[in-house]
Amino acid sequence: MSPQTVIFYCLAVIIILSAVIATFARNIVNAAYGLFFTLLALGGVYVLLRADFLAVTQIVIYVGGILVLLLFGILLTNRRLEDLIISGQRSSLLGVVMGCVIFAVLLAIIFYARWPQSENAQLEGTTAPLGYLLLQNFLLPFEFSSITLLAALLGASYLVRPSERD
Amino acid sequence: MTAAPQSIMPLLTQMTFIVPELMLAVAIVVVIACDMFLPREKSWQCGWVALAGLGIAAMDAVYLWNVTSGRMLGGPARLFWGMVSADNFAMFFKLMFLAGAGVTILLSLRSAELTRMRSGEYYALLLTATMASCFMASSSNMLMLYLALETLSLPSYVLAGYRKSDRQAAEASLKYILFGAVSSGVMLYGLSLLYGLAGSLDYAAITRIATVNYPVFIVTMIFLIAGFGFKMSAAPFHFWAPDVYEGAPTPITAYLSVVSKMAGFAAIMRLLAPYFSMTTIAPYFDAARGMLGRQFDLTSIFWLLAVLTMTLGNFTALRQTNIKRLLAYSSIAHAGYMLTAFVAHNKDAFSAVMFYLIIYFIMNFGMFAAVTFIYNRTGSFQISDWRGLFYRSPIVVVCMGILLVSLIGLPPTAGFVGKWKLFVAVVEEGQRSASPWFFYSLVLIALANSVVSLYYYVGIIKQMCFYEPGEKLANFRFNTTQKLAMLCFAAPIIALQINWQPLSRFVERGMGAARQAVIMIIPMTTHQNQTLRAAEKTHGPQAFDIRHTGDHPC
Amino acid sequence: MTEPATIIPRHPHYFLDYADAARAQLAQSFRLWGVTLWPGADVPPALVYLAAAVVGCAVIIGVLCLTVMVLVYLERKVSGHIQSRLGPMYVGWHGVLQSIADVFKLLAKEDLIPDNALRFLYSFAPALVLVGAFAPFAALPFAQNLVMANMDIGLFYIIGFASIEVIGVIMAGWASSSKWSLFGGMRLAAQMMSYELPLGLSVMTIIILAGSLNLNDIVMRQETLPYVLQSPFGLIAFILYYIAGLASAKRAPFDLPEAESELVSGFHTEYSGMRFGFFFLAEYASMTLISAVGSLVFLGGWNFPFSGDGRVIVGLLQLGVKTAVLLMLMLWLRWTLPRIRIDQVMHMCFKVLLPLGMICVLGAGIEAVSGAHAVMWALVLLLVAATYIIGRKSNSFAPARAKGHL
Repeated sequence: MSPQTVIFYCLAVIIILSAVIATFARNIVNAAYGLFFTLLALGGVYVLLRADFLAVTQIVIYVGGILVLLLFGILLTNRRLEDLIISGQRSSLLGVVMGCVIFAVLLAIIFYARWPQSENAQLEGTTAPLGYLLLQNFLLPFEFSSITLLAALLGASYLVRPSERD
Repeated sequence: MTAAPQSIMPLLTQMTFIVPELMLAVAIVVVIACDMFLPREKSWQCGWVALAGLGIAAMDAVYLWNVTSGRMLGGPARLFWGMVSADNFAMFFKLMFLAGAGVTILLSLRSAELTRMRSGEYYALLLTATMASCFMASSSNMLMLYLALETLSLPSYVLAGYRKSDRQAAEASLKYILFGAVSSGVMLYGLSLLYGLAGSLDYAAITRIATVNYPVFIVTMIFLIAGFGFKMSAAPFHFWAPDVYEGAPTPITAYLSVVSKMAGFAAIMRLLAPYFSMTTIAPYFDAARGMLGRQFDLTSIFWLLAVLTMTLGNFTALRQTNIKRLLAYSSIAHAGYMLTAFVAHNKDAFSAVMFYLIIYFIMNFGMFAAVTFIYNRTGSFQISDWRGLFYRSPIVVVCMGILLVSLIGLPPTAGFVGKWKLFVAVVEEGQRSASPWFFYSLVLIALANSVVSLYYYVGIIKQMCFYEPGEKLANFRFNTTQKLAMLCFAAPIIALQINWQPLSRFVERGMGAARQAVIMIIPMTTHQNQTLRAAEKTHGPQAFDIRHTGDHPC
Repeated sequence: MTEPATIIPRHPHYFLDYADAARAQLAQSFRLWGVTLWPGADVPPALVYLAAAVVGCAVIIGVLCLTVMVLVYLERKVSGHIQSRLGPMYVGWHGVLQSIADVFKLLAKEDLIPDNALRFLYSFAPALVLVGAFAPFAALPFAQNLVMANMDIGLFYIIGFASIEVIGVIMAGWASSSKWSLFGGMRLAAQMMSYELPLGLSVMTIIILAGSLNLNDIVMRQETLPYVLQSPFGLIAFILYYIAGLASAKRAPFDLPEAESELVSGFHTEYSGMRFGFFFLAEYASMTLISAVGSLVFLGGWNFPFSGDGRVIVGLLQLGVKTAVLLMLMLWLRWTLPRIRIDQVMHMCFKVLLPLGMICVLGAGIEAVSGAHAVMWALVLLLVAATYIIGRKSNSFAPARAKGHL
């Protein structure tokens, strides 16, 4: 077994365990920290796939951005320290059945499908090709995403502004 | 690293094909800038700026309509390395979206729900959503599609909750966000599977997958339909619609029910066009399909979706007392009627959907305009408060009656023509098919549903005509602008029943039929057209596809 | 039969190259002595790489710990002299062994966990903070080719891993179940999130000018002139970087997360013993990181003023001196400036640093395309002079109003 395989399985175990924690933790902060390990380990998987830029982007955006915002939101809204935010009991039976069905279908897909395999994935450094791709093939989506972000910014700033009173 | 790309068409020339969207982007920035300099009481004037931007964009879209005339839907003329298509199908929908946004802005300027609010953001967000819809109609790449879908959704969430102090609006916005996030997440999962299977995000990749991995393709499509179904408010993904329609400001409700829905239909039609027009690979395709049998076919999924959507919409609409909720369920039902065309999945059926969408555009905007005007004076959305409206304003009520009859789909209105075209397309496909009752049954169910819808639409007419006016309508009257507006909505409905040929021709050209009339060609037009044709002649039909030009950067 | 072409890796991993050499050496000597580890096999490369990585990490951590000890001593000494005191005087000559005494004190102290604390998160947080503070050093070139992992994305990696520290601090603040800790954690989250933007933009300026994310490349391009002198935007970006870096390292005047006079000591109020020591270590490590990256990216690192022709010692000394100067400046600032309010912190970030950063990125873009450094200098100097004159006349630099406290 090559070291890559060992590392991959370690990461996979971390991802699955922490995802389970994130799903089933009743304390929302614990769930958020479960998510933290999922996202971090996913970054590790990207490293194994030789997508180093993507891996760091994953850390910067998901861990440094989204997760911190999530935690910050929890800390801001949960004013009283005595009672932690606890999510209610789920109606478990339907969820379990649905989850199992979807899982079975996805498993079937994964084993049934003929996945194409790329042959020359040996990229040495992905930054420069990514830059070229962003400004050539994906120029339009890249520029268009700035409009997306502008809309999000505008909407968010409108929603958080104190209500206007007449 | 690679050398600079040797573009077949210069980037600037490519950009001329998305000038409507660029104009909207400029308008967004101008609106935001104007909002900065206007006090709150005057910020509604941003609406006129936005309208001007839309006008310029629409002018250019009309101009491009002639440039791109004659390109088939699913054809190869794609810009920006295969991200968007420049064909009349896209231009058709762009025109509709721009018109829809224009009507929405006019309604917003007249709506009492939005007065005294700061409205710079409102118009900027509306323009952003419109721009995104334009890209949704023209995108021919999954990434672009998803980005456009999200850019359409994000402003919609905010616009639905624009009246922040209102609890209902907040509820509407939150529900919309939750449903939107889940459905777009599911869709993204489907996209990721598709990408893994095809190694490409191009729409053409779908066809390739369908031949190799048919069952996987079907599962992927179910995931994708979740995303589109959310925008189209098709049945299992429709739960947001009634609450959002009720809580959002009425012009936004109209916008969501028309433009947003049309964008969903446009995107899924373009997505499925290459799949449905597969002829050369049919043997493989049939073999693959044989493995799972008829019941897992994509058309069967649409059959179920259509039946579920229209039945649920119509039967739930029966119990509604709030006009906005009623129209929400009615719009769900109409989505169901339009989904029948995907069961027939041929060119006629797609034309019928486009035809129906135009009529739906007029009917729904007309009804929501009426709702806005009445709410401005009465402050109520209850149908019972419309009692005796006929005695206050017979002209307007006649107009509304025409719109309602058209929504039912009875002659002498355009709604009848639309439904006729839809159902005929399905029946004809049934006649060609080996299992005709699969198609006939769908039409029968749709007809039965139309009969059910008769009950609640006529109920509104009954309320307006056969009762004494209530106290809320004591001093009620429409002003001249409002009467004129209602006439403008009702007149085409009648006119299109008398002669729908011009509209048919318009739709045919939208589907890519060649230009028929002689049209003034301005030098720039010829230049663009020549560039397109020359590129296609020298480099084959895939002229704008990076994979065939050999300058792929990796 | 032709000689196989030498394969030059485009992005060599220097430590691993050493590891390769070591492996070859090992295999060679084993074979000479007639010893095989197991029949028919060399030393597996993975094992050698692992060993190399562990040794490299150990060296970096050791050096860092020493640096931190010196820094702590210096901080106490500097603060003492700035406040007309003597500072530590008893342990060793002029108290030079004070830090060692502190380390033993921390090690010997009882490790307390409050009753209400969430045990796992509480004990895990210091480790996470430490990882976040130490991991970036892996990509830091101490001298030419003296780098653990010469990554293609070195600078991005360094900036990116700072965010793990934020998570750790929020974790500590939350898990302590104490209001002081919670407030400290919240303030830190807000502050670090916000200041990552100007930090990123200022670094982006140099990335655009250098056209690379690799720290080695960036330093190599500053042989004649460091970026602070090459480009006016480099200078502005350096000032932005330093201010934002102060905020990210929670140093005064941005030390709100642990403001002693309000929050006891912020997010690590409840910690004691070595766990507290970890936070301490992490703080000084991130100070060192900010200074080192600043001197590498903006001040020419090990390549200016003496290029040294790849001699490690010259590079180490040059980088060390620059980093030390920046660190001393941090100490000096801490004992000179008063702490600012949270609204002032945010005002500073979003209304001053962020627009300036955007201007820098834009300007650097124009400069990188046109190559007109002198023209840019003239333009910027003119603009600054004009702003200064207008500003003096109109008196518009009034202090910001207080709008609310976090």
